[in-house]
Amino acid sequence: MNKKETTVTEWVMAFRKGTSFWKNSVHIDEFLGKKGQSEVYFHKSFPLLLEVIDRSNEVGLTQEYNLCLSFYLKDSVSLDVSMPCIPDLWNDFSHTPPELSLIEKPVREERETVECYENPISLSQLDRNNILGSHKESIAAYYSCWRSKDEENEDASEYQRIIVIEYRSK
Amino acid sequence: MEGHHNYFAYDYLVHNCNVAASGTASAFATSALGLSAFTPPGALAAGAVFLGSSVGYEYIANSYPAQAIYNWAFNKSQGEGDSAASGEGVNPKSSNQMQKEVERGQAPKTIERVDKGVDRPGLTEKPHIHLDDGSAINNDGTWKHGGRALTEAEKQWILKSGWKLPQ
Repeated sequence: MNKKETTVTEWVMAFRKGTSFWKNSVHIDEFLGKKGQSEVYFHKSFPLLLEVIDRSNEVGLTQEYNLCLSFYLKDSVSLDVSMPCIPDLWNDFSHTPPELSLIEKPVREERETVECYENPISLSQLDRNNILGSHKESIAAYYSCWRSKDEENEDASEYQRIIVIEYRSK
Repeated sequence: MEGHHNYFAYDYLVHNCNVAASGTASAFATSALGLSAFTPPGALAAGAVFLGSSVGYEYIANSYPAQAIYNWAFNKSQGEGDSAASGEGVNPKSSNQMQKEVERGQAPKTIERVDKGVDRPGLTEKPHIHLDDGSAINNDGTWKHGGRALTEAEKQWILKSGWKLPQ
């Protein structure tokens, strides 16, 4: 079967109309049209997030949604409170490509975790070329490692790790 | 660290990060911003919370670790063994197990990968399977992306894994 591809504009516009094949999230590889290396995904993520922010602002989506870019990291066997090595972050990526998501406001669901660690990261550590610089006052980044209490059908001993860059309009 | 990031993150953590022990979110956020870890009570506490909020399962409390009690009860609440909802009598596999099958070539060729679920505050996804056309199906049988008729091989693999098919 031919893999469906999309562009940021197509996705945002279709989401606005409620007709998006992708619904509220798209992995980076689906914008690129082919599988790539983790390093390529990492570097492509920032201009794509910028484009999503700009398109979403144009059509008023950011009044209703926050925008997230998620980097999925390999699991750890314990609560990993050491920050990932940012310069080579892509070496720590899991098999899941980075993902862009539109998260409805208010976004916070009550979730219960058995163990949880979260720590903010300076955006400039991640976005070394300052691609998101014009929006940095609306952007936060954080690293999280956790083991879920109610994670469906997963191995209870696994600790998931993620880095999220989140845009909230003022 | 830039000031607005600190504030933003603090706001995020204080207001939104729900931890196992209620009433500790503020302390947790302060702790996290100070680069230290917060480790709420572990599996035992989780089991205790469960036992404290439910009825009918107390008789196993002395025989099994709390996490095992939780897992058992959770699977029951999710309809484990319900032949209409999942593979009959099949314990659901984890996304990791299924992804390994994909990597070993033991899954249908039309399965691209299996992703884990995410349940961070504000960012919630169910474990899901990506198909070769870009569609993705959650472990509860709902579509994450797109949607199409599954092939017989896909259906059999999903059922064998204990996940649910679309209605």
